[in-house]
Amino acid sequence: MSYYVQGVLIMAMINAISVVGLSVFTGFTGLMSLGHAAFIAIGAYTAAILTKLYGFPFVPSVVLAGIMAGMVSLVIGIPTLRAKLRSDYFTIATLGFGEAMRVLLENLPITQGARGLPGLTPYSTLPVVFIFFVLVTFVAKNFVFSRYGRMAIAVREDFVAAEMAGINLFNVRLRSLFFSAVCAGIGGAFQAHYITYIQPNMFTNVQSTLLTASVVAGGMGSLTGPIIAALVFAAIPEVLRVANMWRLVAYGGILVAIMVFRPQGIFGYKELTFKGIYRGYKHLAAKVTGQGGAK
Amino acid sequence: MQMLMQTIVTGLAVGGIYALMAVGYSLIFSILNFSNFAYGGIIMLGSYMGFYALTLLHVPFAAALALSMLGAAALSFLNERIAYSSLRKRHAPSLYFMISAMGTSIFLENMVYATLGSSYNAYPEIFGQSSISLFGSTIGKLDLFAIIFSLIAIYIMNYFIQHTRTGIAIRAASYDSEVSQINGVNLSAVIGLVFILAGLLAGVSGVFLGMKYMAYPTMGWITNKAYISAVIGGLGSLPGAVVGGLILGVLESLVSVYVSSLLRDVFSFTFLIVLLLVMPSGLFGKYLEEKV
Amino acid sequence: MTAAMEIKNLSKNFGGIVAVEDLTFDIKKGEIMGIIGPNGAGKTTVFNLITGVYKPTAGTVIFEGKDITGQAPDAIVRKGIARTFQNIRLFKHLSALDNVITALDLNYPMYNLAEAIALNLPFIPGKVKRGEKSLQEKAMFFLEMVGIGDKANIRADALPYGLQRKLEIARALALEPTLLLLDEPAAGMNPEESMDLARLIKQIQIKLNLTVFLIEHHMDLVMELCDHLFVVNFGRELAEGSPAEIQANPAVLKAYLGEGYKHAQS
Repeated sequence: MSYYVQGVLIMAMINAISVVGLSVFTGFTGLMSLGHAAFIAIGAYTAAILTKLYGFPFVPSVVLAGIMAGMVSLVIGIPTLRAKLRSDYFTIATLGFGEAMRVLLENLPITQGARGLPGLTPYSTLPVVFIFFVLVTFVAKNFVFSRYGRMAIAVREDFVAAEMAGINLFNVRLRSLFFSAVCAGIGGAFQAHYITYIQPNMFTNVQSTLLTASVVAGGMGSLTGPIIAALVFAAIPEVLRVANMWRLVAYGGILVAIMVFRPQGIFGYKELTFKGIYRGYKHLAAKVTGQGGAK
Repeated sequence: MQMLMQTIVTGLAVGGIYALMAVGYSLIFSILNFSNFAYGGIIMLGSYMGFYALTLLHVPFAAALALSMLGAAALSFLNERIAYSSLRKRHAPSLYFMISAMGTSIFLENMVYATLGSSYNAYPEIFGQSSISLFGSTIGKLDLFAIIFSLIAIYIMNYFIQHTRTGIAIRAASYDSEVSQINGVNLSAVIGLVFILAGLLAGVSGVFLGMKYMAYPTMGWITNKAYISAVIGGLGSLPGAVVGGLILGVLESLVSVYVSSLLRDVFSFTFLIVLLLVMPSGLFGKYLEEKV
Repeated sequence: MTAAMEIKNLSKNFGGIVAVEDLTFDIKKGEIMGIIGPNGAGKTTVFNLITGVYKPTAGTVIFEGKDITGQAPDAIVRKGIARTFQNIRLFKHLSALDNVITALDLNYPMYNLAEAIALNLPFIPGKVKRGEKSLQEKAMFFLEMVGIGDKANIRADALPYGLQRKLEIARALALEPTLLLLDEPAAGMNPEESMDLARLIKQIQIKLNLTVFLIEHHMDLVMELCDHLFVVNFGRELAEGSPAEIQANPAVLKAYLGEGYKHAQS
């Protein structure tokens, strides 16, 4: 595998780790966050500080980065989710949290302000990232296809009916938020040790929106959809070699177009399974041969 | 005492622009009940239009202001028709509106970035650096003009909404869009009009922001302050947006001077979250729980 | 007979508008009680106050001797109260079966979070898979009870309207309540269908030994089914008594039943 292809794959999988987490939160609980870049930032800074300043080994640093992001998610999640804010107010609160966190990173001594932390060791190799990607996906899949996932879907579909089915909204939402933050933290840790430097301005609400974009484009209530979207979003601009800003222009347009034309996303509420692929293939084959016969 | 007065005056000057943006933002919130994150992009483009009108077309300031207001109004209207109207007809959840709004915002910002570049464009001097003294504090002529013009614009807007037939239709629609429609309000037209009005205010905000801080692609970021102002005053309330904007301007100014200018924004965003938690309806707003 | 629920001086204001004012009544254990009244009289508000969706402005709700006023909905459900909704509120993208399983989870948590995320390996049977299987069997019991066992794998929003109402009842029953609140269970049904539903409700009530409290506009169903009626108008009590008493009460006839009831009888 060429060095270049490997790079694209690594970035795509790092991106997918965060997106899997967010899809559990937004796609399965129905709350939108515009602050998840902050969790990525927390993961990135935690891991970077641990490896660079304290000489910690990489994999434990990644795990601690995830835990740290998860802990911080409780700080913002417990008050806002307990208050049962209207969902749009919650989104504004997460936006505020993300911005506050970024400004904080710009001003703390340990994060070295706007200069950031350069010169990190490139520990994020393909095997490590791949193992974590598989692990995170495995956990997310098991979570979603369990009683916990079912409760989350119930909350997303109708939170009043969910409460009247004995479901505690707060627990369900906080659990999903925590999981998504841990994933974001892990993603951040890998990102930091792939690009090898971090700065606060890498973690703006545009990044948060792009994460949400993958979830939405892939399909709310699906895991495979967002993963595919995350991989595609990371890979296509690399392949086409377009400048970053044009990529963002396209993302913005795609987001609007999806909301207007296909709000359920590409795989809305469905999963891509091997069985499904086989069925689709047979369907297609039947069509092709059918047409062939008609000629 | 002298310093406190000066801090407050400086805060009010910034707060006037916050108020202007918050009114436009709140106007849209009151009728569609979602947070229009694209508003910052419209303000940014308004600012660019003002800048190019002054530097390329060399028109007088008043004409540049008018051009930028009209341009922003047109963009705001288009924004609604393209990104929101079909969602509205489908009765989509507010989550979808917000995603569409974020999409628009990213699109506009990066479109400008990609075509016009990332440079900061300084407006030509209109008011000079001169300042006048007021109650023993000094205030820049630009700031004074901005705050006076902002308040006049808000006043006209408020008069329009409170006292004209169209204004009553807007209020009816913001109260209950379904019922107002049954009573003969052309909802689509009213919503279009609201976006135009919000766009006019965005044009004014854009020009003043440009004169104060220059025009650049990511300047729409400052509309975050409009959200905070609107939350302080109570989302959806226009008088609340004005008061909220002024309060936020003054608070930020006080924090910068007496605590730390670096922590100003951390303060603002933390304040936003705390406010949402303890007082979601703000000073004047009606906090509607999600319909049961 | 002892009271399953005692409502005392219950009031609710929304802003300045009084939705419910000073209501006091008991629901006796094992009876089917109906609450009737014109549209907007505050019936659904009473349900929302009992189930914790709204917090009362004043008054108390006592269930099986314990004060449950102002508790969170999920806490109230745990005490043994379940309800359906006037405007059907199913989990649309879940199958009929999963809608019921979601409610079963309250009393039958089959595995914990760690077991769910770490121990559920592909192709290997385990606690999670066994738990899910037994939940499916239990859920079928409730689906069959309301007569939609053959629709288990159909997505909730793909079911016809009448069956969606039945699915809501099945979901409520899966919470294994002692008090069941039904908000217009026969809405949108023709007289024949609503009498079928009345028989079903009666059957279930006896089989599961339930207390039932229901809102309904179909007077034939109400008169057939209810042991005891409470009438509200403009948020206040208008009358209380047996169906026969209510039918003879001039105030009720004037405010509500009037022509409509005579018409329904003929």
